[in-house]
Amino acid sequence: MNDPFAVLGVSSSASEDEIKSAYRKLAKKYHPDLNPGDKAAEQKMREVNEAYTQALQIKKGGGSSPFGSSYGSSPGGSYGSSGSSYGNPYGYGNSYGSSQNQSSGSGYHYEYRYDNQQQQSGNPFGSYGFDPFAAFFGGASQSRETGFRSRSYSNPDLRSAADLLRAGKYTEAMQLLNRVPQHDADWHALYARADLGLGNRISALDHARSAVRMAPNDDEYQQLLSTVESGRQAYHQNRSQGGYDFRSMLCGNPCLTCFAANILLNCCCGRAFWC
Amino acid sequence: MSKLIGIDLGTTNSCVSFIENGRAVVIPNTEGGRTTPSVVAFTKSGDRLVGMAAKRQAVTNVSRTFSSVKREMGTDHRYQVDGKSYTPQEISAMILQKLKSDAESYIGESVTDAVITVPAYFSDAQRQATRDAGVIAGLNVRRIINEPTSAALAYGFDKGQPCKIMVYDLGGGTFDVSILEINPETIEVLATAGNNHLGGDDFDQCIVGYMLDLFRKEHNRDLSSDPMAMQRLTEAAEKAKIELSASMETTVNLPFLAQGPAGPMHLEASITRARFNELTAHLVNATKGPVQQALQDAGLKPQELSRVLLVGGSTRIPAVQEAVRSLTGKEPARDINPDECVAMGACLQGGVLTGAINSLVLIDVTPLSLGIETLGDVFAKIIDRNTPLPCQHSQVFTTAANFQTTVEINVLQGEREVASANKSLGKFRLTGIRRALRGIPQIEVTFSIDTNGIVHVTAKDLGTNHAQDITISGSGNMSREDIDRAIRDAERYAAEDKQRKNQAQLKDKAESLLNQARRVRKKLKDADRSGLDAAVSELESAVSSGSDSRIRDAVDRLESILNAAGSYTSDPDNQQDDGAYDA
Repeated sequence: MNDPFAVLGVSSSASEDEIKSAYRKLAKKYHPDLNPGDKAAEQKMREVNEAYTQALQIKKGGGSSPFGSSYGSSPGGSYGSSGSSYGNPYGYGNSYGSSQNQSSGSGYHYEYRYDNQQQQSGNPFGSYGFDPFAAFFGGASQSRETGFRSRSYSNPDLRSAADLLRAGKYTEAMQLLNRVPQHDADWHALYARADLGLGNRISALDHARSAVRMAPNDDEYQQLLSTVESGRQAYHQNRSQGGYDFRSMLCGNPCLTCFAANILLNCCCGRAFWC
Repeated sequence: MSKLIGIDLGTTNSCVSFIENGRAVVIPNTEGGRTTPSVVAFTKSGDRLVGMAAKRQAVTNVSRTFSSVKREMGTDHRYQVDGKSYTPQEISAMILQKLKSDAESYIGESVTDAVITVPAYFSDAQRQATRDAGVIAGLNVRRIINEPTSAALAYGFDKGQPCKIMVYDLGGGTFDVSILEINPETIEVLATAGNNHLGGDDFDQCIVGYMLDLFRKEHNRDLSSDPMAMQRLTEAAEKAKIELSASMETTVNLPFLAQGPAGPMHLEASITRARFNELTAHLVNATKGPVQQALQDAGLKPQELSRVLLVGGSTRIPAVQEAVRSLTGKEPARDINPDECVAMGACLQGGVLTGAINSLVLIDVTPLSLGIETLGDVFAKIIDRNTPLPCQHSQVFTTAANFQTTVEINVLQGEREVASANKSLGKFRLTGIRRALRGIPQIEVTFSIDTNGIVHVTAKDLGTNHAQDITISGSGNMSREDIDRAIRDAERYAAEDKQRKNQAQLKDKAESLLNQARRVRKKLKDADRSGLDAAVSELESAVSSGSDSRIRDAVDRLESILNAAGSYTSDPDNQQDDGAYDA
């Protein structure tokens, strides 16, 4: 999936009204009702609709700079090192990805294609003006977060907490989690992430261990625990853990590694459906 | 070019309209009504009745008269008549066929295309069933459109002003609430909520229950297992409900409702509006949740709405109007006809699709979230409710076991977190996955919802780029073969109906010719009578033989003799004059 603002042809600082008016213009052009039998127009309209939903959600998610604090403000957290090194562009890239995920479930593979395309087309800076490292780490962290996201929480509070975590609102997430009476593995994992975000390493370690104890076969929790234990970047963890290194080597593209890592996470969540 | 019609296929009443001179016009049925009861009956002589004719004879033919079929759309329910079983789609198709033929005789042109409305909160299975009903009726269903959206289209079609409105649609069997933003060239649905099993029928049932209680107290007799009494009670309840919208009190009078040891038992009861409101308060309250949810989903406060439209006959109930007033703080609009605006909007949407109306586009949303079942009976949402249509979303799946080659996915629609509490659209299997270690195959499954609100699923193996075959086997839905068979049946019924109608017309003509001949004979000289007498007796024996071709020949013969006699004319006025003269 492309940048929703680019799809709508507006800048990311556009107001809600500007987004709406751009959307209506595009709808008048591509809506299948006005283009009977035109498959390409219908496909385009689907993209426009998805971009519109996402763009509005990003706008509603928070004021003019909703993403500045995403991960840059997480001292000593799993993303802290990358966040503080790369500052805003990183936070931005990540939040964009996560907002998208909020809106549409899990749009991760689109994202990777997007990053991938950027790299292939020799434009590592993308349309955001990222430096290549920002895009690189943004991708990595998206992979973590989307794998995390594609887990489905039956408890709406946990889902909201996961959303808050993705938006970098660790305090709010923790407050919400404190109100949840049932402490299952998901809850402990989310709590650990919130702790990490706030820099409470010891508590994070406790909760991550609880999560792993409750669901010993869950790869994602294992990964979370080792992240907390080592305090190192999730990205490197992914790479050394999953046994998927060969992919990144083959492709020579860091974003594909993220993709591979994501698939790993995905299959943890996905195995529910397999007979 | 053949015409397109807009059809509001309602639970209790249906309505049809078309575009004439750029405006939506309601088509009256052949009986002259602007709406047609959604009732189908099979008479004991094998005739099929649809509409008012079917509704009128319901009391004496309870087990062979079907109403509120819409409530069963998309389910496994079957209607049994004479050892034959009909799906709800087939019964609905009979209603659609009547609407189609009435429209054809009104417009004077053949009708092939239609836009059919469904409650916004209809699930995928119910939408598909409605579309199938249209196909069975011989219609090319150009679009399935949501009823509140359609009503808003009829309302906002020529309104230039941008505004946000709420449509509160309480019909015979379903309740929808939609919030829309109307702009000069676009109409966007912001949010939709509702209840598929809440409507006027439920209000009637409350009155029926009340009357059953009264009867039980007075006569110590339970009528609920007596179908004919129940049918009479239901009809009386509907009538009482309608009367209570205008007056404060009404009387239900049902003589000879049952036979007791001491002779016939009657029911006479008076119902006040206050009592009715008390009996139905829970139903009115049940509409509050969806209204609040729609407002919340649209991110609007009631005061931001510029208008509230009431749609559906049940919004005539004063307590319902009061509830809308207290929920929204707005006086509901009365400038649209709640029974007709849905059909009118449907034909306007048809106009957009055929290009007859340009400069307007309607953007609707999916009313229900779409997702799949995951481990532990958990519903994982893939497309959220109120996503603008058309939309799509993809998800990558992989295998859980080594060398697994088949995967089954249960597609669900609904808002409940427990997977099994949602409606299953069906399960599909991904087959032919290449043998590999678990987690290696990547199958991208794409879920999309088209502008009809109907779900499509496709899958692609990312490793090989091969498309996967997917067939969703829905529970209540008809297969392609079933539909084809139903189309053939419907065509056969239509042909039989036509033949029966022709037969009746022929008999009628024979009878009037025989009357004519009797009058003419009096004026003829004896010498001229013999030819006439021969033709008359031939026609009489032809009629009693029942052979169409014999009757037709005899009719022609007698007609020509009467013409030759100089006093026959086909002009009906003249005929009447003749009769008057003779008398």
